[in-house]
Amino acid sequence: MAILGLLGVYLVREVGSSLLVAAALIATLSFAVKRRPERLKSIWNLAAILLFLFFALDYMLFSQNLMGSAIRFLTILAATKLFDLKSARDYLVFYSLVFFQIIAAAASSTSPLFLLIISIFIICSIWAMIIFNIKGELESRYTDTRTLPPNLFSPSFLLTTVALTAFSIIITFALFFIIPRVGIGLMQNRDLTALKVSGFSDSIRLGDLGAVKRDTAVVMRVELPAGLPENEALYFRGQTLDRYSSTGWEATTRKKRKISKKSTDRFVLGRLTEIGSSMIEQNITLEPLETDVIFGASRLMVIDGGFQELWTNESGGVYLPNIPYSRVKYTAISSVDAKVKEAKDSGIDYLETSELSADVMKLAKRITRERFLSEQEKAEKIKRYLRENYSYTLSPDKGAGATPLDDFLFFTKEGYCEQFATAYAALLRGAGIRARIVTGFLQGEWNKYGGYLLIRQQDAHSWVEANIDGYWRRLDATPSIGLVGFTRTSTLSMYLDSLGFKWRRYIVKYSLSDQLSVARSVESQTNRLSASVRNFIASIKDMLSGKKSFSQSSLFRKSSPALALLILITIIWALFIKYGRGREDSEEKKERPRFYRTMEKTLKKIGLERRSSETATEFARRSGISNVRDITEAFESVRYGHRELTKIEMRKIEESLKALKSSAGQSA
Amino acid sequence: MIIRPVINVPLPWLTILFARIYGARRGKPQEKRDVKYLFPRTLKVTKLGKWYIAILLLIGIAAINTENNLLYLIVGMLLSLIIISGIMSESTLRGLKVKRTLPGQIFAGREFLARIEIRNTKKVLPSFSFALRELSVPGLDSNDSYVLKLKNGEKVTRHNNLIFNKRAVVTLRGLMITTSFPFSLFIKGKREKADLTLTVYPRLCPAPIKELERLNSLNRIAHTKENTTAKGDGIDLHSLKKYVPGDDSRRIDWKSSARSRVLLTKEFEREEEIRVVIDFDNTTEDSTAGEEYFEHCVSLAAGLACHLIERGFYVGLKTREARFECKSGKSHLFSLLDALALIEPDKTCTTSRRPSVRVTER
Repeated sequence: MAILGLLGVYLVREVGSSLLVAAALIATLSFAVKRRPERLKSIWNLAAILLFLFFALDYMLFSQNLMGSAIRFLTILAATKLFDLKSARDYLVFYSLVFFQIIAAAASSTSPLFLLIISIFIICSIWAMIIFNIKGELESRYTDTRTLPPNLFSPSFLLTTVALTAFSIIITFALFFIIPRVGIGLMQNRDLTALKVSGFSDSIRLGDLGAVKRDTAVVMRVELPAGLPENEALYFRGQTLDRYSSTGWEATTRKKRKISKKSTDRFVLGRLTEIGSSMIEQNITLEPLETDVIFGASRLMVIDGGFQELWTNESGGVYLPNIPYSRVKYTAISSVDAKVKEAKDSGIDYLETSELSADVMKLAKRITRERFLSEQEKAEKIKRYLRENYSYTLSPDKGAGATPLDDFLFFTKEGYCEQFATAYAALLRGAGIRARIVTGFLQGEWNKYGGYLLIRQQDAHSWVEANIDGYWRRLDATPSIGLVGFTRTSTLSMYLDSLGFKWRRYIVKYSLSDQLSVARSVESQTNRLSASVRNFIASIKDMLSGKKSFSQSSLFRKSSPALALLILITIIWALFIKYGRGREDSEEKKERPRFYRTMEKTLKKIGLERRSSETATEFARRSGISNVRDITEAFESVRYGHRELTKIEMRKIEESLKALKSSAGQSA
Repeated sequence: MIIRPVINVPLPWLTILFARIYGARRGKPQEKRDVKYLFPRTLKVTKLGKWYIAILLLIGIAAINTENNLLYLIVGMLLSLIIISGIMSESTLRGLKVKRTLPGQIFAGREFLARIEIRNTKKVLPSFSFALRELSVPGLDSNDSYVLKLKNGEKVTRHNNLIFNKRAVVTLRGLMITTSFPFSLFIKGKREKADLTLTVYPRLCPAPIKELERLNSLNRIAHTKENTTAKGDGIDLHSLKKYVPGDDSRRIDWKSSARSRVLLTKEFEREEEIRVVIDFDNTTEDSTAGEEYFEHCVSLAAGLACHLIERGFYVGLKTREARFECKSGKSHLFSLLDALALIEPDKTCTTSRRPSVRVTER
């Protein structure tokens, strides 16, 4: 139990590992201490008060976090309570403390480890409470009883409780799914730590992305209902940046206009005619990032996620009104066409080169000096130039250039996506092609267990969008080595991640709409079942009336659910007969055979009932019916003579009963 | 959006429930059932159970407020434990059969033991931690007995101490088997019907010493005066005679037979029939103190009857309504006690006299 409590607390973010270690040490120490002096009770009470004061001060003066202080208090209190476990009540207090630790874990964690903890807790608590109950009963009745008698619980009982525990876990989940989610979410815990990500604010400095390229923290998970596209890697587009300064890039416009809502929750960005075969649907779960950018593969067209409002600009970036502090879940439909047409009068100068050094301009001219090159060819030439002459590294050196761009282009000649993209965009502008930078994520790893893309911080990427022949195209000069993930996730981690994802999807984020969809599916299932039962009955009727033969009837084709139901009911009934009341019935049968009960029932109809003070013979005499006397005689020989009736005797009794019934029917 | 009820199973159950309650309330007087025992089980929430429910509600409110699904999961867990508790307590109570045996004579104010035989008729499961108590009837105090474990198919015997506070004809309605197993959250009870009507005899109040001395002296005189040689069914030895077949074998005097090597039986002297009548004037006074005094008189009469019959007197009883012939023997004593158990103050009497008990000789 103590371990369970500590495990629960481990899930709580506010508790440091040092406190956990301390609590674990105290708990271990308590098992080592064998002698428990009587006055320990008062010492424990005093210690509890002191601890409370200490953590109250901790809350007021230092942490200012009620949850954190309360959990720390609970943890130490539970660990110290282990020293003072004597009566059943002490154990109860300890279990309650562990229970509260688990509630604390529930309130501030979303880890799937919680499932394990709660399952073990159910098993342990069932046992602990049973023992508590019996100890309590014994303590209240016999003052000298301290220990439970040995062999109290037989193996069959143990098995039963294990089965009950499993059953309890099933009920727990059944209730979990049934309890109506009428939550108002007034006091939602919005305290999830947002991941710090660079590159998605109004401006970025060159080198910002480098810091996150080694971070393996998960940023988002993307489910693809149509599966992973085979021919092309997905680029999850975030922020576009258009103005170059000597140190980095800036976005001149971010939230320019609200996106109109087309239906209750659906925001549509592009014209519906653009939505065609090259569309891809994604269910995105975005971890809380310190940005208001909404990500989506290539060009977002439709967003469906219960947002109040969304903002956008000409370059197709999508933004939330505020930075979210919890996970954001939405469905997006994107156009993965490589080229997109945008309104021309955006007022942004994508050819601005004022901040570019003369060397850069010269280089751009030099690369594209051939005559009659189309924009497309120019872009290709620059890309080839960059790929051939520059190498990829995550830790570029600092060179002697005036700006980071000059450093990359003329001195160090190595860098990562950010440098490549900046250089590409600058050279494109130098060559007279309108270009901008886009920051976002590469598609990351495919989790085959969960069927989703796992995108980490290290998949952060930046690339270029250039307006070639009137269309915006995605261009990426980063060498292919920079386009693959750096770490391969192990199969086990993938499996655990998918488990966690499902846990969050179906348990942590289970909502009223999920309940409604479950209810609808149950309704359709029951409708199907009832239709099948009707069909089954109709088939049987047809067969009985001879309209259809067995082979013609659709008994097995259409009524299989009804048949399954019938079989299930039969099995349950058979089990009930065998194990349910069987014993009681057989006891009853021995005391009053069926024929005697039938006789009693028949006599009751004509108002003759055996009094509690009457023997069977007295009753038979009072009734004055010869048949009753015969039956009673047979009953007595069975009941008191412990004799089995012969066939002839049974037949006689049947006849007597028949006669009795008919005469009772007449008189009634 | 229209949400239709998916399952409409509860309706028939609700109808049955309504019919049962309505039937119990509106039934004919002789068929009227006790609403308290309308359902096969009784349920009481313990102090711990109240705490449990309070915590459950609190977490439920927290879950609604925070929309935290893990809190909903905990609510689900707590509710499932209640269901498990119900199933386990049911498995303990189910299949328990009880047989109760009471002593033949029961006197008010005198503690007696009820022997209870409990049998677990279940096929597989044992029953754990349950208590048995007589269903409460007015004037009955009883303790309960506890069984820690009763294996399937086994039986065990327990004794409950019972005491009736006043004389009456009482119908014991059965036994209540209760258990707080498995979690001490609820006390579930099962009523084992065992109707038994019994007569609680009055308390036995010792007669005033003067009166006893007077009666004892009567007895002594009778014995001394009556030193006859007549044979009879008394207690003093009259003579020994040779045994003949048909004589009561219990009267054989084995010592003398051994000495004389012939079977000898004892013959007893005939006793003088001292006939006394307990004259119980069962008038009443209209006050609580009067009621108490009346009860005292009943106890006194019962005490006298016992005392005298035990000493061989032929005792009769005279009340305002009834008269019992002077007889001796246990069965006569019980018929007198039966009458005293049921006696009521005669309210038709116009003169306001105190009730009284006198013993008169015949």
